[in-house]
Amino acid sequence: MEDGNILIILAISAFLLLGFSLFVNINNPFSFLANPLAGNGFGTLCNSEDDCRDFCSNNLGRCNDYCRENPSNELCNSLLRSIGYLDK
Amino acid sequence: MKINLDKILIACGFAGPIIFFLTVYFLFPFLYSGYDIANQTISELGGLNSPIKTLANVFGFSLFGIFIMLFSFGLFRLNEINLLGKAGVFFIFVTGILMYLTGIFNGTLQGFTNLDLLHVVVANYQFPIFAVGLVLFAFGISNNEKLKWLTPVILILGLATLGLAYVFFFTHDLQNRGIWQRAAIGLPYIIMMIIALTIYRNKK
Repeated sequence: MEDGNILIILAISAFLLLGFSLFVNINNPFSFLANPLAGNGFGTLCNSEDDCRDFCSNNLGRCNDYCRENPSNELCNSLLRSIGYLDK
Repeated sequence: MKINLDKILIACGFAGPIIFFLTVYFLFPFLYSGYDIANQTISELGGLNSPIKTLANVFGFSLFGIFIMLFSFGLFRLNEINLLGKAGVFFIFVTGILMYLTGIFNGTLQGFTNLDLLHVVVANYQFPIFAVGLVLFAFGISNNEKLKWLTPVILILGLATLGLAYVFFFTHDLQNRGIWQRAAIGLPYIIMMIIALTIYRNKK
């Protein structure tokens, strides 16, 4: 293949890659990956303090189980213990 | 007009870092009000809440990744590079892919999410991969009359990079974290610029 043709293919590929990056950054199609893994909620149970307050009011046993296995999670101490959910 | 494709591709090896340094190191921080170059990392320029997120990710990280990929394609085409050198070029190409993806998987800086995990993988793992590529490339050109002087240069600057990376990644409560990161990231890409400029000048 001639150098000129290779250059055109590479230039088009580069523009397509740059365009894809622009699309991703404007439309955020990977935003579903932005849920906290840890620290802001109870693992996969809930994602924030408000979310966990709602979730735990209906799923006390699951929250208790989570907190027994993850005693270092700050929400276990602040949220659950303060409102009497957590086993003493 | 005859196109010298090899020279164009090799030129990507110094044009890319020059653009990256000018934008990500100097221009973009000035566009981000409140950004502290000395204590904030370059990833924060492209973080979820950055006002220049798209600019930094697309025209900083992803564009640079494309330049690295084009440069490695140019190296791969060269007859002067032996099989070992081309194995090194493969790793440099992967580095380009990871730099491109750094602009795709931006960190959220809002707790640790899957997106942050992906960002850490593509942003941090590119450097050990790049190091492997540079070492293989350095030994690959050690018998080439015109390029063999680059072997000790790459290895010595590579060792200096490892020292900087060690300070950045493993020092607790590091002061001027942003400066250390810029130095640790900049040096390997300066090595790439030296390689590119040398080959470019040797090319007819």
